[in-house]
Amino acid sequence: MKDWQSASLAELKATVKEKLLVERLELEDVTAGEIGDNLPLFGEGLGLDSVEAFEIMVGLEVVFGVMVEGIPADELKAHLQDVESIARFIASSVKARPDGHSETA
Amino acid sequence: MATSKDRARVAVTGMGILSALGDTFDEVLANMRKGRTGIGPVRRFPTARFHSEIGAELNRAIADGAYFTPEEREKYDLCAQYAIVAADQALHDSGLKGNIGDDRRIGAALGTCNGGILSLEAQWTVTALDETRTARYPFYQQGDDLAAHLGLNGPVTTIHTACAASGNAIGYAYDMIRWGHADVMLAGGSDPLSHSVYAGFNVLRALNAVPASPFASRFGLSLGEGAAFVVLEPLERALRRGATIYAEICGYGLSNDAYHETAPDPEGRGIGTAVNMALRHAGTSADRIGYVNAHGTGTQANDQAEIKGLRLAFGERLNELPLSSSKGYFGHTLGAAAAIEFTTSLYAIRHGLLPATLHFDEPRDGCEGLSIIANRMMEKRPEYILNNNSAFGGHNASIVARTHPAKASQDPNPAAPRYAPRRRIGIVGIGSVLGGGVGKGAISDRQAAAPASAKEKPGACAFSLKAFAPELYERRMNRLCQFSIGAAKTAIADAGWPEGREAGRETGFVYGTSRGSTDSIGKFLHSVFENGPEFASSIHFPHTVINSVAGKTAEKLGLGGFSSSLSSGGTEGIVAAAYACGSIRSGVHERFLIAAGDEWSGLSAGIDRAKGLKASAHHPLEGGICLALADMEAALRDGTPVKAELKGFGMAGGEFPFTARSAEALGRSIREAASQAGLRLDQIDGVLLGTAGRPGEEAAYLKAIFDQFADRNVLAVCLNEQYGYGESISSMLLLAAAAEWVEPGVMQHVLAVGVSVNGHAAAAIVGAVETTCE
Repeated sequence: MKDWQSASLAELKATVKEKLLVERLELEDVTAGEIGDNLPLFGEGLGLDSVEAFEIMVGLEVVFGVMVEGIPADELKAHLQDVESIARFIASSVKARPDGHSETA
Repeated sequence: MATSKDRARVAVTGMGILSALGDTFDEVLANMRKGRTGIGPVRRFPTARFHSEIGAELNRAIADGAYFTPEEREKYDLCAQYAIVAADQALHDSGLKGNIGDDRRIGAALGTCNGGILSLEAQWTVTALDETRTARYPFYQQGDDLAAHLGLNGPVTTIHTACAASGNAIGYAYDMIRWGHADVMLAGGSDPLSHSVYAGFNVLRALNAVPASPFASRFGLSLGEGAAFVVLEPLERALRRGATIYAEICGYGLSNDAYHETAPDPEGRGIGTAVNMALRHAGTSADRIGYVNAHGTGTQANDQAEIKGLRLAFGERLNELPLSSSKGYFGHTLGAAAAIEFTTSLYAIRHGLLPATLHFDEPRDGCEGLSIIANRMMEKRPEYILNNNSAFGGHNASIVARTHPAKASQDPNPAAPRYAPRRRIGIVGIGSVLGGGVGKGAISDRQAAAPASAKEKPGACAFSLKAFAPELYERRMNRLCQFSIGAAKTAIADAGWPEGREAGRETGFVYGTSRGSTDSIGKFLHSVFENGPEFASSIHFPHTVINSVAGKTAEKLGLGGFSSSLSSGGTEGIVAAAYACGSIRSGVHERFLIAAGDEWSGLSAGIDRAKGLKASAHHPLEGGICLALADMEAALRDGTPVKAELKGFGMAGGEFPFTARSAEALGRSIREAASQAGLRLDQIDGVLLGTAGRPGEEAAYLKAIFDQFADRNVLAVCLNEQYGYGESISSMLLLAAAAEWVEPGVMQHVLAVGVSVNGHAAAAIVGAVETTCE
């Protein structure tokens, strides 16, 4: 797996759109370029449902090595709101890794 | 011969079980009395990376016991093995084992959620499949192996409505007896614990880390496994021979939520429909029910919705009605759940006890104020009980049973709707999705099955729902769903019926598919096998249950009425038609849609190889066909043109390769169809045959047909020569083609005969519409 700690937010967002959403969810009717950073993913907007939410959760682990276990449902829901929130969640998760090299501010 | 009475009452006279709490009812009841759960650590496969590590497994000594020879263990999937053990036990218990009489027809209806999925897991691949294990996989193979092992000669069907499957199977078997298609039926369900199914529930976060506590504070289910079967026979004969009568099946109800592939309608409307239908057909009122065995899986979505649905039927009285879920004892045994819960409830009631809901602490939101039997069994002997189950794909099944033996002369439920065998049924709409086009009102156009372009293989279907009806399409919709929705929408339009939920609630729907969407199943299993079970694909998991196609069709077209989905390995069209016509004659709905579909995929090609279909004389065929059926009087009243009349059906168990038994099954199905239609064989003007077309098969069956007609030179055509062979759609094609043969009025009666890959036969007689209605 790629080292996502050094990835920029823009790179994370692009990967979320391409790998996590379009490829993993087999979204045939939309391209990565058409998904805005702040487009709501569930209900209105991209129109995803709960079954797809679980696919995103598996994808976070497979693609980014980010585990969502133990995160309260409400908090997780906030992280999965749009591409921007997912990318920020990934960034903070990979930086917080015990094996990470990130500086502690 | 069909000797159906207006109201044949049906008794449960034998029961068999294989469960985590034991493999005899005495042992199971002893454990239930002690409040023991069968849920414990899973030993069958590693669970460390799942959210839960528990399940209700059979004792290994039972599962791997000495019941089968090594050859039989090689031949049968564990699903069929469990079913055989439980069904054989039920047959022994009934006193009919080896004692039925050669002239009696005994059939089987097996409910299963996942069929022979363990036979694919054993290979841990969907791309390099071997023939021996793959041949054990198909859903219909489970019912067929049960029938072959026990030497059954009556109708054999596998009902695959997921977690409601064995409830539907018991209902279907009850109908087979009431309608005169069988003298004895074995009905039940079987599902062994599956690694990939566990992985699927895991990724949906549906598993409970601790033993399931339905209606209580902790959400989530515990998976289980097992099988249970009942022996059903006419009450009158059961009383005459002094049989043990566990219960009388009074009636049942089926429905579809028409809501979502996995989530129940939160308002429980589909459940309410099924329960009300069961009560109406039982001729009893809600206030006579003394106990409800609920589905109660323990998930957040199910339990609340189920209570709401039960409230729609029972109103305020639900609060006082003893209610429990048996999932705390057995886990969620999926396709076996209804049968395990029904039989164990009946056995407990014989001992004056009602099953409890284990692990109950305090009621969760939406489940307050109920009379939940918590943790300890309740002493009670209710006269009437209701058994309720719901499934992925939106299917629901409810059974009403009377636990007290009654005299045959005293019908305790005189208000029950009568079966009207003379009621006439017409084909009023045809929709077909074959090759490159959509056929409305007809399928006979030879171009229909022609390839859409030179690049396509013959028999390939290029239909796109997205292009045909974009409002009904959704992301990733598998092709089988697209074919089925396209065909059903077209049949509705051809019949001139209104679309939408209001009309859909009053329309029955029976769908036949032998394999479901093998493309979706293959994608899900690939995710499990290649990525690891903890990374199973949640988006494809809902389609591993093959009623998902019927469920999606119901959802998109608002078909919330009576709903079933079944497999028979090649006779689905005729079996679905028989089920729908019998249901119309029983007063379920005046309108039914029957549909069938096949879809090609890599997994499907592997099954073809395993079943010898690569050697077929006919090219394969995929697509979907739907017929709209209506009560003739209602159709004439509404001014709906009727294309043809469905007059009679017969179904019989045979075998493959072709033997004298296969010929006998074919002959019996033909004679039974003619008898039900009130016709002699010399009144038949033509025969349409459908077979898989393996070497020698077609010639053998054609000869067997000619033998039935003695010396008369009857026109007989094998339709597969024109269209190719699609396991499920071929027999639906026969009915549609027969309707076209009789429509011009030159032929009066056409016999349609389908033979399954395992040699079971189903026959239907399609008649021209008489211009004057009696």
